[in-house]
Amino acid sequence: MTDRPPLALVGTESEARTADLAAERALVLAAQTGDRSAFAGLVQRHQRRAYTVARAIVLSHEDAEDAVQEGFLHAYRALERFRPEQAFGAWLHRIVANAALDIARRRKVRDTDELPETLASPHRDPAEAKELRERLDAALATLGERQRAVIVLHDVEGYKHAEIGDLLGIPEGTARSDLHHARTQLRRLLGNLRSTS
Amino acid sequence: MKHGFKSDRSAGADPALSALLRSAYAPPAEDAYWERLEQRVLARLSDTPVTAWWNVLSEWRLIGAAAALLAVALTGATIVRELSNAQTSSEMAAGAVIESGFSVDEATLTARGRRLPPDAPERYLEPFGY
Repeated sequence: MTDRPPLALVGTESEARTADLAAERALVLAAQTGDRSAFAGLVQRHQRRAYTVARAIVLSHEDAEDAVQEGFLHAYRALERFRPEQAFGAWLHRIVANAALDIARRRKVRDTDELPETLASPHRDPAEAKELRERLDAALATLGERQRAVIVLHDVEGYKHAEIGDLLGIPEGTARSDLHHARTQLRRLLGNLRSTS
Repeated sequence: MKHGFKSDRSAGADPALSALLRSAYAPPAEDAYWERLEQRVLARLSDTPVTAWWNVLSEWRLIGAAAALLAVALTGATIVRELSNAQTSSEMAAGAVIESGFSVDEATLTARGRRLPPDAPERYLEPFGY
């Protein structure tokens, strides 16, 4: 037997989802008429997800913030071209991903030593955490921006290959292949991860 | 997170690596951070008006309505004037015919067809010997 939720619960979730979509659609329509508070509502709803998308693509927290701001700004300017029957989240995240890719390309020459200082770590020993973080940063820096984005979006954020393809504007097969190469590369560079983590 | 951590179960994922990546890429947890980010985003929008086509149209709607009313009024006036002119012309033509004193002879009024001369058949049968 599978552990499916009761039908009543499924119905409630479905109704909540429908209500949520309707509320979002209302916000989008209001924002399209120039209602800034409605757009603020959309920012509230989507900024965390937008951040995680951007963060998967760029190398630092600051660049992710910039990408989120750029993304929302572009989305605001392009609101009149958004068709309300589309999923606003997917549309917005694609814009944020493009903004992040743009920033990542501009930062390509950055030295890995300048890389994130805002990364959190689950390790209690600061020295161990620092070492691991440095190794991870160095390993991630060896990946192409697309491969890095794919592995983070897939293994950290849980996006599917097709969703990643949509976000980054690449075929699903390319996302799949990038994921494979990124995993192989990180495993090679962080070979003794298990013994240290 | 919307997608949770289900991808740990996907083929090829290394749980240790995923955990490390997750910790490295964790978004800030404090609500205050997100409020500040939202304020920064909204501040950047402050000088970016949305100029949707329907907004432009709505600015012109009063002028458009007035122009449409004027056009309807002009068209109506033109139609009424043309009808009035046409009626006057008919009345004038009828009056002119009645008042002209033109006489028509009785034979013309009672004739049913074209009249032929009495010797017409002979002329048609023998045109050279007639």
